[in-house]
Amino acid sequence: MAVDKRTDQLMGHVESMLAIIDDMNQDMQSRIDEEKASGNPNEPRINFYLSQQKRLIKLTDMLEEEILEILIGIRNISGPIEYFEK
Amino acid sequence: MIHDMEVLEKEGPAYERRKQRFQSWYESVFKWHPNFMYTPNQVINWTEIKKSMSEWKVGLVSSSGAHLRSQKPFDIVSDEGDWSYREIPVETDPKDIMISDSHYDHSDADLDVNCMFPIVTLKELVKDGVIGSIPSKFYGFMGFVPVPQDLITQTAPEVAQKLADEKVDVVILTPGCAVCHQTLGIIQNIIEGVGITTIMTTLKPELTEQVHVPRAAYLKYPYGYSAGPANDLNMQKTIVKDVLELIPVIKEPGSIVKMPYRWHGHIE
Repeated sequence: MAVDKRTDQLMGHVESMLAIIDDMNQDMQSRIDEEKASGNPNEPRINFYLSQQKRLIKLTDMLEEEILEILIGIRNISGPIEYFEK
Repeated sequence: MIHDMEVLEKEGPAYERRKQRFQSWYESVFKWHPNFMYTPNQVINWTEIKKSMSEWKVGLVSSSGAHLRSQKPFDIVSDEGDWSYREIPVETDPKDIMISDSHYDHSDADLDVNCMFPIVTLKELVKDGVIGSIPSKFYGFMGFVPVPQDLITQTAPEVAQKLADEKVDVVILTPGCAVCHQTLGIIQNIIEGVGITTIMTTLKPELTEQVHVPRAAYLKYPYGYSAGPANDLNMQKTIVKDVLELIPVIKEPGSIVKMPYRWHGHIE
């Protein structure tokens, strides 16, 4: 019994997306820290960064909790599908 | 060592999503396995360990379908499943272990059984001084046991007693397929009930939490890798060590901790 290796490719794409999102999130955090450390922090600017972070976190949750979950399920069942066909 | 332990919440949106996934699985499982009986543990047994990790004698029970090539394979045809077990001496060469189970893909485990049945990992952890020792035998079940009555009354208590006779302190348990998660949760609770501290790795936390087990570590991996990725002993050691290190810090029965590893695919 062997799984459909294309499922690993799909999961790899999601992993790449997660790595990019992590990077963007860290970028927003650095900007927030930098702004706060300045003598005169710009609140609207900080709120924009926070708002962006909120979206990035939501996207991470969706990819991790929903998309990866489904992909793992597809991978899990692809092995038994091949087995039953034999 | 895991510093930021993420314990799965027992209420809230994430819990509800898992509960929905369990419901959806529960409604569909009868299409494939009409005999399946949902059999959660009625009471969660709990044994705390006082010794430090470097003194533990650590046993292994897996429902991956692992057995010696020389032993009778598990019955993978019966709709009733197979609740028997196989004793695997710890000095066994991993190449002499095979897997009989048709409910998940174990092609990687056929090449590196350690990703499901971490016999080499545990020996390495003894050598590194992380744990104290291992008993003379590990145990293999085939987790497809849709009707677990004889497992509950006969074979799981037998294995629990054998582990107790060898004065095992801690048992790590690794599952194979979906129904396996119920089977292994039942075995785990029976072993905990004889005074041995246990932890299972779970690939399906939504099932494990509905079976009510003492402790579990959630690996977000596909079936076939419940003890780490294949052909990567360092990662396998890290995972098993991290899972064992959770034992003294989990204080609440029924807790499932999410491990911080991501699946990076099949490794050649």
